[in-house]
Amino acid sequence: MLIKRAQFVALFFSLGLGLALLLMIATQDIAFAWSTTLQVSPQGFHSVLVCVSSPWSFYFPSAVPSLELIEQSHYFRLGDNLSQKMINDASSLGAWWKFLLCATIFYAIFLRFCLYLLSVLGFQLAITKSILSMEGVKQILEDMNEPIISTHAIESMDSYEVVHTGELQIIDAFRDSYNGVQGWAMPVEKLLVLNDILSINSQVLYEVGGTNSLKVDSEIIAKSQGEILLYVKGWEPPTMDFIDYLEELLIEVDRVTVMPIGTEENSYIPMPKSIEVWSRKLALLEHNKVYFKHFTQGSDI
Amino acid sequence: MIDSHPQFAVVGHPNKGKSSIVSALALDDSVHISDVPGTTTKQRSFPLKVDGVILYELLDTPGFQRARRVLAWLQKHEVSADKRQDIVQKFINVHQFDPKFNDEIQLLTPVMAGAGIIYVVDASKPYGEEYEAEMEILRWTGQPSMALLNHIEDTDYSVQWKRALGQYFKMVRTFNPMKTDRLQHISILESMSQLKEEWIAPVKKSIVLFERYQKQMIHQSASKISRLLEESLGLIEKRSCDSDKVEEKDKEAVEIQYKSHLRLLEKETQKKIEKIWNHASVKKEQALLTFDELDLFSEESAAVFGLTRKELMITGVTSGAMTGAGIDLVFAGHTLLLGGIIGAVVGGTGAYFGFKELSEIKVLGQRVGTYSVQIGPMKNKNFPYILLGRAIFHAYHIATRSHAIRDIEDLSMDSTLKEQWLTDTLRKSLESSHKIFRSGDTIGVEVGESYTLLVEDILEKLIQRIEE
Repeated sequence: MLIKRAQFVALFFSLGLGLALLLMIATQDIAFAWSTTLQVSPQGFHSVLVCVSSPWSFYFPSAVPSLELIEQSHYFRLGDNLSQKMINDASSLGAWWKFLLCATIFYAIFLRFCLYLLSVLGFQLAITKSILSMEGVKQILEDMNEPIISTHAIESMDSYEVVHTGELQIIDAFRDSYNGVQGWAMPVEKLLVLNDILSINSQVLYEVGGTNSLKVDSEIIAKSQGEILLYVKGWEPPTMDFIDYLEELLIEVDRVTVMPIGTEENSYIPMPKSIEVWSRKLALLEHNKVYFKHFTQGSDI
Repeated sequence: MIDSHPQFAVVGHPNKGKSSIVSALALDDSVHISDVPGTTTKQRSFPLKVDGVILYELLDTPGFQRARRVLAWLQKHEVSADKRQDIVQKFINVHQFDPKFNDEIQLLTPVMAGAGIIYVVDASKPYGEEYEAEMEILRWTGQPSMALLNHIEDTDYSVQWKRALGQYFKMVRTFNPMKTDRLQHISILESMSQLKEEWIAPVKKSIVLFERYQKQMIHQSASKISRLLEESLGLIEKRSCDSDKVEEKDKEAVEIQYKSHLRLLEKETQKKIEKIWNHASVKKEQALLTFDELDLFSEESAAVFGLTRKELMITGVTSGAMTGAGIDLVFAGHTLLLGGIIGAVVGGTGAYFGFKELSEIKVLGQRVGTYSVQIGPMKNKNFPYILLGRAIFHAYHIATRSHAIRDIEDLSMDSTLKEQWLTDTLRKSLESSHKIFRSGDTIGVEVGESYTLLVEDILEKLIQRIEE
């Protein structure tokens, strides 16, 4: 900011200088001369001036001092012949003004103007840089340049929890015998194995659910009576298909004992989490004919 | 039919991990995952959107509840294979408002609208014939389908499942949403794209975008970590006191204030990073990863995340020597390189003895009669490494954590992760930035940017390593 202002002031100073020069040329008859204490020949001085005038020599060749003009305007403090020569050529000594004006325009005004433009550019860069260093600006710019990718759901999800109500009747020991043993999506062979392990006595074994048609299940329900032991796979959650079957069965029988079992690899002992899922679902039925039996309680393998 | 973008309906038996799979594939932890069957009662859409344009859509659906009844209804209509789709559509139309079939309607509607089927089963449990009814219903829909074997437990029944699923689905893949990583994710997306020829291009485009999305997230995390280091190291805490003679209680109070501010900055950054990686569902109040009461300023934290005394000495020696070498340069070597040697000794011993001190506590005179005690910026050379180590540890675990996991992880920490990323060369680069951050001066954008790049590189390499 300071540099920019300094350049601005200097530019106006240079413009003032140029104007003052023009004013002096216009209002006064100035005879220009040059002198030096050093041993500089007019030829040497001429070549220096040609070099200085190179930026405008192509456009304004008359603004480049000729060797002749330099020789004529060479001023010495001592010596008569030189002063006489200068007096003779007095009319041509004013020709220097073109060179001086061009030098002022180029070196004082034009170059200062360039420096001023540079300072403006530098100032703008500094502002940009200071904005970029502000917290969050970079993030906004990145967000604007990068595609906005999102993968989540548009609406938030209300958590749906089953309200636990109702009491579940849990029994500790098996009956001596059951009127029927059924397995939900379990083949009869599996039911035999389970009965054997748990010392359950029943001659009427049915596979229900699974690949049975609804008609077959209805026929089994029609044949069912008394007290039923119903094995279910503990690792499978109770579906509404199962609940439909159980509700229909409960109409026909006196009591249904549901017992979740585990996988064969787990010696049929169900996981505590699955027992919880099944007991919670069955409790929701609030049916006085439904009983729940834990596999580990009252059964020895 | 939906032609604009591919849709994939994740369907299956209740409680078999459908929501977990959707959560992992959509990188969204707001999916309600529960071990209570029937938690998902409505289909929910998870679109992959780029600048508002949907590239593909995942649909989480409720599980089959009365599959046998639905199949029985369908089979009542004896039709040729080409008419089966019409019968399924008829079932939807007839039972649209029947609460009994709500779940089946919810899952069959998007399928019949053209969504690809992703049938999920739990291969850690034995196959059961009760699944056949629902697989048959899906076959009736005539939509392109694939099966995903999920493993909720460690037991494996994949062989029997593959044998059964092979009869209904052309493609059977294994996907564990709890242990998913970027490569597994991409591999599943590629399989999904194979379901229909016209889905290949948009899903392939999504894969490229996923890669870019991950890079974006790594960059944003690195930027937050860089900002944390910059703010923490340059932090100055002031507290007014009664006289220019600082009492011990004033020193303690300002130090407590300083430490709690630093802890807060760390916690805020962790939350921001969790948000970047979509692990900050609004309902979560606790931090996802806990440092097991391992305080930022504890000795244990310094031992696990900080530099060893030897490393600290080397770091101190290097930075001291660099300052000394600067003096040598100014005097064009006329100091006989003594500057470098003295700087190294001073820097090294300073770092060694300054292991516990955080910063100098100064008393500042303010208006007449009022004084304040000031602490900061951070002078401790080890602190930046402890803070950075903890931040990288946290970001790395968040970046590689599956969105299907709902538990709060208590991370067991040791220095093995630090050993994987903190090399001698990197330490030197980090130290030069730490020095600028510690100076308390205004930090140039370039310093922060170059530090972000260093952290980004560390995170990228760590994440890539786990995938290899």
